[in-house]
Amino acid sequence: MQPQFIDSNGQSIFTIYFQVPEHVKHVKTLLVVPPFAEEMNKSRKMLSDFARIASAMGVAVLLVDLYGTGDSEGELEQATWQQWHQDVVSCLAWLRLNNPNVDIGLLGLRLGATLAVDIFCKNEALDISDVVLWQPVINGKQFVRQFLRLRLAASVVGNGTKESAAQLQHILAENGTLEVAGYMLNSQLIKDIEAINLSSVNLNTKNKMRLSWYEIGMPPKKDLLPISKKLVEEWQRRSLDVATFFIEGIPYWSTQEIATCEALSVSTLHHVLGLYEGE
Amino acid sequence: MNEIITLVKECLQLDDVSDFDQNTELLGSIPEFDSMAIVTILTTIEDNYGVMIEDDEIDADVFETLGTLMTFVQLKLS
Repeated sequence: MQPQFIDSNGQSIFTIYFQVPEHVKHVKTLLVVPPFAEEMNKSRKMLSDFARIASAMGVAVLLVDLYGTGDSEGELEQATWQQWHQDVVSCLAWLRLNNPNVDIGLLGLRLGATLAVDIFCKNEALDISDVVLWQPVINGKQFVRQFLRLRLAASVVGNGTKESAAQLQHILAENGTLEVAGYMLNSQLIKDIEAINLSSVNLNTKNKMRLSWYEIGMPPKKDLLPISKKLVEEWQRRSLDVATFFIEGIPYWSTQEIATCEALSVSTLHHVLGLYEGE
Repeated sequence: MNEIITLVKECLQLDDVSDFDQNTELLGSIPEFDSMAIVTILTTIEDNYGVMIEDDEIDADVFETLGTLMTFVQLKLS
């Protein structure tokens, strides 16, 4: 486990590299694109547990704190989607330098999955072998609406008057920033996230990139959300290699108590390592 | 009603919901029922039932009891 700062366009990005032990064959490397805000905090244990299991099985993992988050340079208030693109691209370059003959893939969780797909679509030159999506956010606009609800909900729970969405928009227009549950968001970042929708990304694979889509849920749920299935089917119609998996487990990125899902880690690694292919 | 109880149980990570019914008070009674819980529950309802909840539909009354929450969901689905 190796913590270090990687340079991203002059900014220092905090990362932790989980390397494969000497006696194990280094088969692949995954760069983890993290979720947003509180989801990131709640997912830390899951992601570091995953990184530990993965590296023991021959898959090195780089955990990344995007600009303005975690221990990286900058404040969230200054973060933009573009900067985050650059962060991932810089970290990929670092990985390629340090892992010259190994396939490198992206693993994105929640909004990190959305970012991973967006980066893959917009960077033709990136040589990525796998894009693993954990519980992807499909609709950026809906995601922002759900996030802004934290502020609305706080005003419902408190005894003050309830703020309206229009009021929040007004504050954003006036100040350029909006505070939600302790997170300072700038209007550019909000616009950037709202503009993203996986249903309309230009996803086509030039090489043999493998896409996998994972969702977690508790019974009676036993399959992907209908809207996810619809999107995956569309991608498959475009001849994309997309595998889908539903894993029984608690949504660890949003639970109050820290939770993990080992089955998700194991299933992901089995797939990434191609352990049961051809069966 | 069972679906709603399951939803609340999962979102709040509660252990024992055996005595939950439509009169069970939520907001202000269950300690885990804070603003984060409201957001989680609303998001789960949106995802599970494929509905969209507008900001002006969010009110403290909706979360008064399991019964009021269930009525809210039923209205959204109709």
